[in-house]
Amino acid sequence: MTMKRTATQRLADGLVVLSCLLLLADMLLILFLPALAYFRSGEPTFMTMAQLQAIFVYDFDDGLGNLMRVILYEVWQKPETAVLALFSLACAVGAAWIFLQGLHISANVADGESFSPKNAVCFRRAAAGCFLLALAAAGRTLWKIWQLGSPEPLLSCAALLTPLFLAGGLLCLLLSALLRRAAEIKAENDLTI
Amino acid sequence: MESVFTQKAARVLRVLMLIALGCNLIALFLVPTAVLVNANDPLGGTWTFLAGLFHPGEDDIQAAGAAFLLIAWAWCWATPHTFALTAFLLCSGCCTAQILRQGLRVVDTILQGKPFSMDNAVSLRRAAVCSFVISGAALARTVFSVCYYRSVLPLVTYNALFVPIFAMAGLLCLVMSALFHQAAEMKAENDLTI
Repeated sequence: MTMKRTATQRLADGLVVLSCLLLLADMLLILFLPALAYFRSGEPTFMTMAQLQAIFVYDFDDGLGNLMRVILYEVWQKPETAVLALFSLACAVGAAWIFLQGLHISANVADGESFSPKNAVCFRRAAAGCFLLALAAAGRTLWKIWQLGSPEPLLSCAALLTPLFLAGGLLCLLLSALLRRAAEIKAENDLTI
Repeated sequence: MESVFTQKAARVLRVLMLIALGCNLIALFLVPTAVLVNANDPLGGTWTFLAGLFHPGEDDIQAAGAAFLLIAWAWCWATPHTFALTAFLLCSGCCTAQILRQGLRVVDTILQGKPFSMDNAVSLRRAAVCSFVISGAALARTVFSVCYYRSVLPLVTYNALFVPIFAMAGLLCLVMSALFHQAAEMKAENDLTI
């Protein structure tokens, strides 16, 4: 006989599916991020996306070779593209880590173990991921300010990510502490006859 | 020891949320101006406008720039592109302000030492609704862009990314709301035990 699942558990099931999809998309993106950073730079001497597509149409192997050269070599030759690629990679890895922790938490909730110390640990790990993202965004913003010699990058998406992920990290730490406290209350409750 | 840390983290989070709410309200007011100055990059448009307003050239009239802040609210609906962008940004901005307000309420209860209360469950449920509205608005704008430009490129934009991200945030808020509800019940039961 199967136990009837609560609404929370069904929601957690949905979160598990979404977390898995996002994690998968994120892992795929990590492979191509250096190439995206390269094409986004718009350097006149660089190959364009349209040119690469044309090479792929002409000969798939040639296209793949060019793409690998862009990812493994070309993108790291200029500081601008290298910093953008590094920032994007740090963000993608941090996001993957956060999704993984989210997946653990959702799976625990779906299993009916909402108030378990394991969830508190996962939230603490997710907080570390958020702080890594905030640090990467702050690093990129500072680098852009130094490079341009103007405070303009303070009004960019990267600058916006710094306080956003800092707040996200603090929120995760708070939730971790609250879940630990709730787990203690639950343990105390379970022991009461 | 941990409770002291929680209180400190909650205080820092409160300050960050208040700053974010302030910036959010200012940004909401600047949305039509930013869209009209640079519809492809509203943040860059804001920078250009503010730089022109606070550091005007010799021939610039500052009063005209200031007046533009108000006139933009009437002009921004003129073309389908600016209409869709302004409507999306205003809708998202209002929702994020509401999410931040609910977040402030939750943090306030933590600072008062009453984290497991039914009020928090209600606040998180409201935040979930706002997240779903943002996700829906982003989906509507993505569909509009795909149809209007007859291209699949809008599927690989920040805007399209908001759809699953905010849907997930909404689900997370709903789950957290249910957990807070359960924890509040557990705590009430615990408090009644002699």
